[in-house]
Amino acid sequence: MTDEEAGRVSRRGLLTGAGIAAGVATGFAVSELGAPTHTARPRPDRIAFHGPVQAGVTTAAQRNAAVVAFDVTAADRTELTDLMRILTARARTLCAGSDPVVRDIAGPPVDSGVLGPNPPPDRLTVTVGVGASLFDGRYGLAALRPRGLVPMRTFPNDRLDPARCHGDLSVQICAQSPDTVAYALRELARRTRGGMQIRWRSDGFISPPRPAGTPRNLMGFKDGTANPDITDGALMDRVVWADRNAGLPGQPWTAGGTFQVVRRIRMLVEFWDRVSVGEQENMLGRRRDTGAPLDGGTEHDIPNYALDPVGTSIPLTSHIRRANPRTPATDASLLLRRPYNYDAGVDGAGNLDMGLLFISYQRDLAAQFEAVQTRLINEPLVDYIEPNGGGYFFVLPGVADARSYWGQHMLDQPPSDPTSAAMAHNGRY
Amino acid sequence: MRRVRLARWRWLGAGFVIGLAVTLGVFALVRWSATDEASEVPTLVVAENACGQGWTDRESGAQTLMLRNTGGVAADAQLIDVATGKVLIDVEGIGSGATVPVQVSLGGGRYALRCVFDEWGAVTGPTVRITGPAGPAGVAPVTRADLIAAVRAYQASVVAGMVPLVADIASLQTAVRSGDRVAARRSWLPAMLDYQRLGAAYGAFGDLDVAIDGTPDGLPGGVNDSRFTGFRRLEYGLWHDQPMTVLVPVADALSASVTRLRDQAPEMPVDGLDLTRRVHEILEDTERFELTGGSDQGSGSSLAIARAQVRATQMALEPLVPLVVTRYPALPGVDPALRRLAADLDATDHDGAWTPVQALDHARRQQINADTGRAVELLAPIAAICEPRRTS
Repeated sequence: MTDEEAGRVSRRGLLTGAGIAAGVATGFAVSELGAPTHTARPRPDRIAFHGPVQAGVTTAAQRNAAVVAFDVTAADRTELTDLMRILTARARTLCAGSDPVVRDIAGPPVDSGVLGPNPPPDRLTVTVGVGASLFDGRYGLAALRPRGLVPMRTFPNDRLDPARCHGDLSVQICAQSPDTVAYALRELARRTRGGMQIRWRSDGFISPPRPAGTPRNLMGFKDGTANPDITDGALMDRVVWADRNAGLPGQPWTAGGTFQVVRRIRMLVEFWDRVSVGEQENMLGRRRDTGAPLDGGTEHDIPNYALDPVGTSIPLTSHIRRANPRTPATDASLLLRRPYNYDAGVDGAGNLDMGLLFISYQRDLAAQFEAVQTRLINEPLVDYIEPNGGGYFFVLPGVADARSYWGQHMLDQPPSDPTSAAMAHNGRY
Repeated sequence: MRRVRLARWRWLGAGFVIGLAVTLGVFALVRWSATDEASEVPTLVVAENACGQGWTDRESGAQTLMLRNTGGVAADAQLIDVATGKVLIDVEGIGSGATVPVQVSLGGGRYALRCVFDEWGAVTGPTVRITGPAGPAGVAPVTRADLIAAVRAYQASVVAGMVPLVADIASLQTAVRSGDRVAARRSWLPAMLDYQRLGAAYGAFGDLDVAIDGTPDGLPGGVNDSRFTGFRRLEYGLWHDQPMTVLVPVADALSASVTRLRDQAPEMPVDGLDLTRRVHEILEDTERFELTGGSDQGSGSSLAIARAQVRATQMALEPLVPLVVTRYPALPGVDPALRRLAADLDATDHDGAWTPVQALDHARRQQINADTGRAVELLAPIAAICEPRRTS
């Protein structure tokens, strides 16, 4: 870490360095357990921060999440670079956990105290993406916009609230406990207030299995049964990651990135609860109790559409059949979903605002998410859901090591000429 | 300053190595002390007759110290760097019999515990040597005596600020009495800004502040509550087309309150601690009441008021600069941060017609929010650094 970077990170940053964290963690282990422990060893609740790709994408989903979109207020490329360095340094420390809360009289407390004196990692991940708007003229980045990154489209059944859409940056914060998520957000925001401001935020949770298998969404159905296997590296390379070596075509700096779709999809649960279970199941294509496809018996039975060409058991318009017809032609639209439920109060008509914080990862927005979403246009389910926010983002490549930071390879590129940048901007949209 | 900062950061750069070293060091300590009666975590006595006893030379790094008051009266405990006199930790009011664990990062050097008692003054314990690389430098203590000059300078600036306030209040009162709503509205803002430039955050002027600048918050009757008075009450009436005759007594009462304030100002006690806190509390109020538009009663002047509050912040900070300049490495960033905020606020001033905060375009509003956020984060440590500490 350079002096200038560190100087920007925090006046008291020396108290939050990862190395110091390890030292104090040990001190605490000694004092609390009465026996020496070695905190340098991997902990099951610590997810590696460094790597060729970011954590929080093919990481087994933690129980709680916040997706926070930010407007970047940095004045220029230099301030943007500072912002990314600070964000990275702080996230690195938070994800390491056991960050000591060392008393320092030269300022307010060094952290919020929400996680106590010795914060655990709690499987925290912080995943940072960039939106198309970051590639306007402000930072000389227009020529670098990841190929295919556009502002989120408005689909025919959407009812988007502009205040809940888009953003220059997305920060997905996931952890096992909600207080860890809140803590991480506060610590990140506290050190970056001058460089970015929250545009919108959506929190989510994953329910425990009821009673087993894939967790249920707030429509009462198991959600995510057919998701591709995150432990299958070759599959993830095919579905999720921009080529790990070459990146997107002609953009080697994007290697190891991925496209993120966030959609805040309200479920009109009062209406849904007034619909018969048979109608619900026909709309989804699965049994509510077991999660089995309507032509099967258990959750993980594979629907056999070839034997059901006219949709006698699984209607042709059902959600699972439209989303994934399981044909060779539609195989290319397979994507990785990483959704959360959200539960956020009540609207002016007294109805609950709850639903799905849909998050998906894919290497091509148009060929994957938009292809699937296009097949879902006017599916019967649209009467019961209302997408009202979200955005498209490009998740930056991973942070290689303690000296690297998010977006480093992008920001290392020479600034592009604003005029040609503006043209590129207009031409793409 | 520069030297200190570099030293700190070099330490961070080596953080991982140090972390390992500390890990090993603590290992060694534990293994070594396993044969010893002493606990792994040193317990330092806080007491008049034994201040600082209970710990011995040790390795640098982050560690826990226990502070135990074995005496009969409450005491403050300060860990000081013997060479520089700087304070690294300061735990106030440790009660008789109480034990307080403190996590602290100590670099190589010589340290001692100072026990401070209300009645007896301060006692400094034995010096302990820490081996290892440099660590946090601590803060040179600021005493109440050190703050006296700053408080006097601040009081003088407040007194000076009363002059334009009283004059502009007189114009406002005249306009209201004349029944000319347009003129009254035009006169309201300059007087309001005069008052805001005084930095009356957090009840600085006590009950008079409530009378002069109270909002309907907390009043059962809201804007119709008889206890809703002052600038905001007048604003509400002027911008909600209440009869001017109704507003005359409001303006008269406001004028009377301001006159009382002016008369009291020279003798108004200002606590040094309050002054140091005011440096960021004024803008905390800006965040809460102006940038949200929450206190606006119809005039749409939130950003003009925010701008005046930036000036008030500068006025509170100025007399503290001599104390802070050697103690706060980030101080050089404070003035540019305040200027940036001021400039972005000024851009919403169109010849005296300020854009209402809700009418700001999104990007500009986010910019002002960011500027304010940056400024308050930078200002907040000043209160901690200047918190008066007893050294004798």
